[in-house]
Amino acid sequence: MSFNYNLNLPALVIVVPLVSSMIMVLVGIFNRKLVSYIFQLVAILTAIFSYHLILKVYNEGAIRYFFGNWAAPIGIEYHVDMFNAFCILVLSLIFAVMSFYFPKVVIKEIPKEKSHIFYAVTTLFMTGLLGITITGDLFNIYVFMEIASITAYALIAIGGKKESYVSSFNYLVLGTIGASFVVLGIGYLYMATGTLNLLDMQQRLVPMYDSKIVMVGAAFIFVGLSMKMALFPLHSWLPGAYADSPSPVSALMSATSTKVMAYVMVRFMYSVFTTSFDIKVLPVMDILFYMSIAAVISGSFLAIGQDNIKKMLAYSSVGQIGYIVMGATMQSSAGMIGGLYHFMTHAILKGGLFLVVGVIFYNMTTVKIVDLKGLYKKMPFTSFAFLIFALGMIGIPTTAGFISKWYLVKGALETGKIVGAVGILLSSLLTAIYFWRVVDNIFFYKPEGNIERLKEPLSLMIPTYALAFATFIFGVYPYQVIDYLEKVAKILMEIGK
Amino acid sequence: MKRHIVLVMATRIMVPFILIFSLYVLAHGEISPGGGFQGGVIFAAGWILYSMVFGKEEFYRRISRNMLLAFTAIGVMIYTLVGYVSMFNGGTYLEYAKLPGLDMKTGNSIGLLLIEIGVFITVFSVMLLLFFEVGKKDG
Repeated sequence: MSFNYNLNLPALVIVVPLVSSMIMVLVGIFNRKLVSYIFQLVAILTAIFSYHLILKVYNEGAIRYFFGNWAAPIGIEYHVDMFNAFCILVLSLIFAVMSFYFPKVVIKEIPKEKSHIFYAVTTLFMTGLLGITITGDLFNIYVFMEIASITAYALIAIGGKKESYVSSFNYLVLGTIGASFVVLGIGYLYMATGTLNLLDMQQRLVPMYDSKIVMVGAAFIFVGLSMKMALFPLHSWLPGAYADSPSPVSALMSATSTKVMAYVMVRFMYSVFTTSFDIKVLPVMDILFYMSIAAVISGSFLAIGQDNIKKMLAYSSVGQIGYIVMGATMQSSAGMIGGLYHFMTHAILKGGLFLVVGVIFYNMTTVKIVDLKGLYKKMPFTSFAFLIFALGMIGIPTTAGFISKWYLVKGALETGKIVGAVGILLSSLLTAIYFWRVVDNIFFYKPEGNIERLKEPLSLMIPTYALAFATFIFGVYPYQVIDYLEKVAKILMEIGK
Repeated sequence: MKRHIVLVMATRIMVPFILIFSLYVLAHGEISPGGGFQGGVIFAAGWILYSMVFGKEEFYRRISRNMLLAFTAIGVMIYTLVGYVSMFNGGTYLEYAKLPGLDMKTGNSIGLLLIEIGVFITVFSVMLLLFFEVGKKDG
């Protein structure tokens, strides 16, 4: 009769942030200062739990955790295999690193009387995202998706600018449409199979692939998910949502939220449906593959034209989500490794870039690219961090971006999808163009007016440089992660057969 | 509306019954239609009626705004606490049978009642907050 830490790990990853967000509301009424410390503590705890979780999964195989000890098809199950253990670790580590960045920026950008609510909602947002990744129950995916998106609407609007209300509302409408598509699709699948459990559903679906209900359900789910993750023609909510939100929010959201939806899509493609459905019955794989190429190229094109650096990064996100989808739909294990590696790489790089932009905004209250002239003289460390992340995004060797693109191109060539390889290379070129514009402004222009060193607070620089070092570490020593992802890809290909 | 004697008297008579009824709905949740959410909404409706007739200030004199905010958190915390207790008592999260001093039979009914109380508190406080915040004059 004692607490079983190992058994309860999957639940702890979710319920600890969940209950602490409520504690933050309660504590915040009496003492606002304390809340930011609780926030950091929770972020670190979650990271530790997920680290132990991935170790356990790696050593002992997939975990099935039953809530309230009700066995699977009846009760709700948390299913952790090597695939989502990896995603959970990436999410919670990014959250932990960024939590140290938050307090200073929050004081500047969030109204004082809302700061404790802000921390609570952010924690709840992460709870939602972690919940989506960990759960093995279809309806639970939808519930957590709603938690994550409702908190996201609130986080975008919390800064109190006029544009942020508009973007938040925009996202609310489109996000709700996407989520209701997903729930409709899940409803259809439930109608056909009578179960909501992921593993159970895969088995029950196999003989029903010709059924119209299943096809309609699948179509709804994939369209809804494309909307939620801003795949190219359905991306119109994303630039506003990232550009008009407070900078810590855009950093956290860009690093986590759309990628989680990509994870759900991969889950549906491989664990709920099998590849024979995705290829033969409803050609989801092919459609998404070509859509992702369109996303990769057009996202980069749209990014070139922006004069607001946050908008530019947001459009770049539209392109980058294409890489992940492309890797998942390539039907080759190298492509899958590339896509999953990009899941991590993009979280590091785009998160880092938004952190840099947050530092710039903290000092200069501007996000216009023309205002960055001669930034190198004013904020050398910030500028240098930007350069590192920009090189990573372009995919220069020794940065993490190179590894993921290498595997994606390898996968494209292996499966004979030359158009994919061309798309990746073209998009890298375009990425170089739009990042060069900013780098040019920062390093090679004389600053206007007087030059003085602006303060670069250590609490903002440490998280930024932690991510910058991660860029190099995963660019030079990718072997362990690649080994791990090889196993993941193998498992996915096997269960998806 | 304080001068409308009919409204005032009718409200005075009705509100206690509405509040009691909400508790019945809460208590019967696990065996019949009802439960924490429905009970919480009825409870909130009682207070909304009260504050429509007697004014928001009169309501806030009894339960302050910060108290309401705290209630939203406390409700969820009661819910999760039940889970934690069963977890620390050797079971999985929300395994009612492992609540201290309870077995499979009593645990499932009392555990369910406990989490329904959590839902009840959160729902009624959120409902009231929504009503008052939307009804603010200064936007």
